[in-house]
Amino acid sequence: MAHLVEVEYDKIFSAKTMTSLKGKSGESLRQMLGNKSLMQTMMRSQALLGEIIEAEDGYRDELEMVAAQMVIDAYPIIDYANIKIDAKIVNMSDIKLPKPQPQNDPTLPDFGKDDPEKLKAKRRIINGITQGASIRGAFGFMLFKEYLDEINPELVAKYNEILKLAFGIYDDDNAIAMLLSMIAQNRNIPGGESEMEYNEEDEQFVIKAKAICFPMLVHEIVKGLYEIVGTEGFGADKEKNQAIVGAVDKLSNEPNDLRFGKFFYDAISKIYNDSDIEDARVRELFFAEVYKLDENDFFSFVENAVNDELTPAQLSWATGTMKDIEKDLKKDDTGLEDLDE
Amino acid sequence: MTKQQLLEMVRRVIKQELNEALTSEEKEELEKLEYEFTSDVRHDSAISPSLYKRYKELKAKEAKTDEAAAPAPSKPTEKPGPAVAPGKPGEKQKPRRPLGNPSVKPAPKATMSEAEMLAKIVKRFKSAKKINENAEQKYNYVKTNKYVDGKAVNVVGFYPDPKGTFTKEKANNLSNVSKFDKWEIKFYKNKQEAELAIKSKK
Repeated sequence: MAHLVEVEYDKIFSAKTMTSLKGKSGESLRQMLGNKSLMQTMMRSQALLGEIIEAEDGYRDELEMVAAQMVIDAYPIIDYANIKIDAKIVNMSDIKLPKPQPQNDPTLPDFGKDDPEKLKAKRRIINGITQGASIRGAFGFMLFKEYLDEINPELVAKYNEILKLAFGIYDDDNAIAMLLSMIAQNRNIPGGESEMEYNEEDEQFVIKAKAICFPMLVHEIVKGLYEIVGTEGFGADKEKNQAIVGAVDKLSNEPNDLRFGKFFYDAISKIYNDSDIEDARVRELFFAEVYKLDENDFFSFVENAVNDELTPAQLSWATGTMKDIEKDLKKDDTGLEDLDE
Repeated sequence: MTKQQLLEMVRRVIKQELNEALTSEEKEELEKLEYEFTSDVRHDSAISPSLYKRYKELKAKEAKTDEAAAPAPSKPTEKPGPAVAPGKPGEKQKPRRPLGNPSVKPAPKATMSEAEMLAKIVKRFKSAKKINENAEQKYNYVKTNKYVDGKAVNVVGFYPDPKGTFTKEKANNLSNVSKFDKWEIKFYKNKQEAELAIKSKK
């Protein structure tokens, strides 16, 4: 791995891994956009979005509930971890750009033995996974196909198309360059946003998601969930944590997080999918365990997973960890302490 | 029915006054269920709500039976903690695998508005295309000379023509390179318009 002086992905991963990631991104571009040019993609997206917003008019309250229920069904970890969802479909004008974070110097707090460069790189990868998980999760609207068909039989096909177009452009170099330019000029307007909050009084995490249409709302809720999972990558020192957040959680990092993050997510999800464990809650809890790895082990694990080259020791750790999680979940479900004895 | 709802129902069942002692058939049934739940015979996802309900009923009965048989307080049986629907705070037993670290507040993450974003990108593309088109547009010209206050004025009317050799930039730059004292350069929509204008200047 390259020396970590920046948090850009090409400084975090080896040249070989970056080549692999760019190859996957190229393949994704073909799958998502087909033969459409960037211009055609944008024109079509714009028209589709207008049609979707019009079709959803009058059904927003129901769709908000469906979006939350859909994510609860698809991600049973939400129920287990007692996470609250606050989801709204809103007008574009109701979504405000996140205020730029103060450019905190991550070296300001005393990091002690921790290397801030490595902490930043770890956070960047976790942000990528969060974005990747939310792209993959957004397509879960198919679970409610019958219900959506009742609102408008064309909606499901339109949702499918808009998501492919909207996320497909993040695999296009030209689009990324333009997005970054627009972000730099503060000219972009968000179509959705999500954040997580911890309610100290209730000792409960809350996902707050807003978006301009149903599929984007699902995307934002899943993003909020993985944001909560992502906090497992931090330690207990609030000052250090916020310094890292200030240095890495930037709008300008999001286009490339969306571009490459889905492949990090796919790689780690594959480990869960290939196991014989069927309890879906294990998936997010396994991500949390990966995030808790110390930085060097974390980078090595993610990089090897992306290249499908996990070492026997890494595979063994992953299998054992998932089994342990599964046992704990069974104990919680049944109330039986001696399940594994 | 979700697992939490199921647990809530089980809790209610346990709370019910069950005075009957376990029959030998029920004991056997309970033993069988316990074996299945605690070994890998039955995967968690394969435990049906009705089966689980039955198991808890039998456990509750067993606890009652034990209480009746032994007046001294016995070791409490293992019971699931209070369950709530997701989103209800404060009542739920802490899970073995709590998720999330409250020691950090990540920045909100936005997804850019496709409509607005695309509108701006499209506009940007179009204007870039227009600029390129303008840069590449070729012009031809008609011209005449006239003298105003003793000074030579070269009057040129340019019009779009793919066979022309002038770009707009090159045409506008003429005054810098020519020997004429003064230039009057104008652009017209077409050749006819340019010719009419130049004719009127003669």
